[in-house]
Amino acid sequence: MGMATIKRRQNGTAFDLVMVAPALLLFGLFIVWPAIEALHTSLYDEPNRGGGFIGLANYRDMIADPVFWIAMKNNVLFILCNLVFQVGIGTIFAALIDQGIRRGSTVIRTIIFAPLVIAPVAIGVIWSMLLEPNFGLVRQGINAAGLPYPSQGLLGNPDLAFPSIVAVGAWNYIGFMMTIMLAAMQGIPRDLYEAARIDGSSAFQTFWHITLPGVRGALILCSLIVIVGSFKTFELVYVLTRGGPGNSTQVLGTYIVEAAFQLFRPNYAAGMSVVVLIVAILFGSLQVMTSRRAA
Amino acid sequence: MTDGAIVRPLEAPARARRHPMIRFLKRIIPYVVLLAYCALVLVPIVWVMSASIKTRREVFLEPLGLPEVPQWGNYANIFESGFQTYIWNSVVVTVGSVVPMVIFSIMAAYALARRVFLGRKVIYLLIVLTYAIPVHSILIPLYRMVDDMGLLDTYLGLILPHIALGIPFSVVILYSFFLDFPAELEEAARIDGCSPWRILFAIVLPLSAPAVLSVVIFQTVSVWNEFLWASIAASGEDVRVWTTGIMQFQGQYSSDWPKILAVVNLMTLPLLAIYILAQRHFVRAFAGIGK
Repeated sequence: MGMATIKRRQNGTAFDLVMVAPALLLFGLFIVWPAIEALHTSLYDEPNRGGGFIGLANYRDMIADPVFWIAMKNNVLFILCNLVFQVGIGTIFAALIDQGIRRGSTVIRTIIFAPLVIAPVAIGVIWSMLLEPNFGLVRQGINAAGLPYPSQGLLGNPDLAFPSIVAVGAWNYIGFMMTIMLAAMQGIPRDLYEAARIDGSSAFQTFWHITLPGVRGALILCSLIVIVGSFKTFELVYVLTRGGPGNSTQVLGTYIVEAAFQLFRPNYAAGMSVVVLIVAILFGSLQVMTSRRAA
Repeated sequence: MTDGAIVRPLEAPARARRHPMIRFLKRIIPYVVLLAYCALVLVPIVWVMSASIKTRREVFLEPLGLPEVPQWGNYANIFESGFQTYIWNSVVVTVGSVVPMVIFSIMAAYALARRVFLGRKVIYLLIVLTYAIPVHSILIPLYRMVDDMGLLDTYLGLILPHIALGIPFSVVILYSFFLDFPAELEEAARIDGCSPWRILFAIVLPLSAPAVLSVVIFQTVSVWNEFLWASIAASGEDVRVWTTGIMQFQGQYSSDWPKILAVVNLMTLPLLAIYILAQRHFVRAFAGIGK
C-alpha cells in the first residue's frame, strides 16, 4: 500500500509538470519576458539616437509630456464616463425590464445586447460613417430637427470628439451591462418586492432598498469589467479619431502605438507601457481581492 | 398567483389614491424608454444592412430608404478584391490560437486547482495578476522578439502571442470552475486505480462542458475581432486578417461606403446569428462566468 502511494505520487509529479508546462512556457515567453523587457528597454535611449543607457530620462520626458497627461486623463475620464453611462444606464434598463414591463422582454433584451458581438473595428467603421461631417446619418438627423451641426463633424471637433466616443462606447456596451444586472435582479426573491408593495413603498424606494442591495455582487463584476475594458481601450479611439483632433481623444493605447511606430520613439513608448503594466497589475490584484471576498 | 389574490385587497387603497393618468404613465414609460433605446440600437444595424446593397448615390442621398435595385454585386465585389484571403487568414489564426489556448488552459487550470504541488499558488497568482494586461503594454518588446524570431507576417507570429494573451483569462475562469468540482468523483476514480490523465479526460472534462464552452466562445470572439497585434505583426499582404483588411479597404475605397459596409455586414451577420441562437452562452462567456 505504502509503495503504491509513493509510486502514484511520482507519476503525479510528472503529470503536474506536463499539465502546467505548455501554458507556463508560452505565458512566460510572450507575456512575462516582454513585460520585463519593456522595463529594461525604457531605461535606454532610442535606437536611432545611439541607444545608450539613460536611466530614468524617458520617465522624466513622460512627466513633462503634455500629450502623455492628456492620454492619462482621457483614460481616467473614460473609466468614469463608462461607469456612469454603461453600468448606470445598464442597471436602470435592467430594473425597467425586471419590474416595469410584462411583455416583450426577450426581444428587447436580445436587441439591446446585440452590439456587443460586433467587432470593435467594425463598430468604429460604422460610426465613423454615421458621424461623417457631410453625408453622415447623424448630421442628416440633426439638420432635419432644425439644429446646427458643427462643420468639422462631431469627431472633428476637439470638444465633441471625446463625448462622441463615449457615446459610441455606451451604444456598444450598455446591453452587456444590462444583461448581467438583469440576471442578478431576477435572482432577488419576489416576495421581497411583494412586501415592499404592501408597505406602500415607491418604485424608487423599492429600487434603492431592495434591488440595489440585492445586486451588489453583479455591480462589482460590471464595474470591474468596465474599468479593465475602458483602460484597455484602443480600437474604438484608433478607428474613430486616431487620437485626434489635436490629441484631444488620445488614450495611452493609441499614444503608445503612435510614439512607437509614427514618432519612432519605441523606447519612450516602452516607458509608457510600463506605466500601463503597473496599472493593469493593480487591476489584477483588485480582481484577486474581489474574487476572494466572493468566495 | 393565489398569494396575489390575498394581497390585492390590502394594496387596493394605496393604488386608488393615485390618479389613473399617473398609473397609465407608470405602465407606459418603461416601454417608451426601452423601445426608444431599441430603435437607437437597431437604426445603425439596419442602416448597415440596407446600405450594403445600395448604390453609392443612394447611400448618401437616401440613407434611410430602401435600395431601388438591390446591389448584390457589392458582395461579389468584395471577393473580386481578394477579401476571401483575409477571411481565410482570420479563420486559420482564430482556430490555430483558440484550440491550443483552451487545451493548455484546461491542463494548467486543472493542475493548479485540483493537484498539490510546490509553487502552484505563486503560479496562479502570477497568472491572475496579468489578466488585465492589454497588448499595447508589451507591444514593443513583443514586436522586437517576434521580429528576431523571423515570425513577422507569418501565422505563427500572430498565433503564439494570441495563445499567450488568452491564457490568463481562460485559466482564471476554468480554475474557479475546477475548484468547485466535487472531490468525491475524483476520489472514487482514484480508488478504482484511474491515472490522473484518465480522471481528467474521462471524468472531469465531460462534466466541464459549460465552463469550457464559455471560454471557447469568449476567446473565439476575442481573437476573431483582434486588431492591434495583427496590424503590427502582420502589416503585409501575406497573412492579413479581416480586421486589418477592412481598415485597409477603408483607406483604399474611402468613398465606396456600400463596399466597405458589405464587408462589415458579411463579418458581423454570422456572429449576430450565432448570438441569437446561443444567447445564454454568449452572455455568460462575456461576463467571465464559467458555471
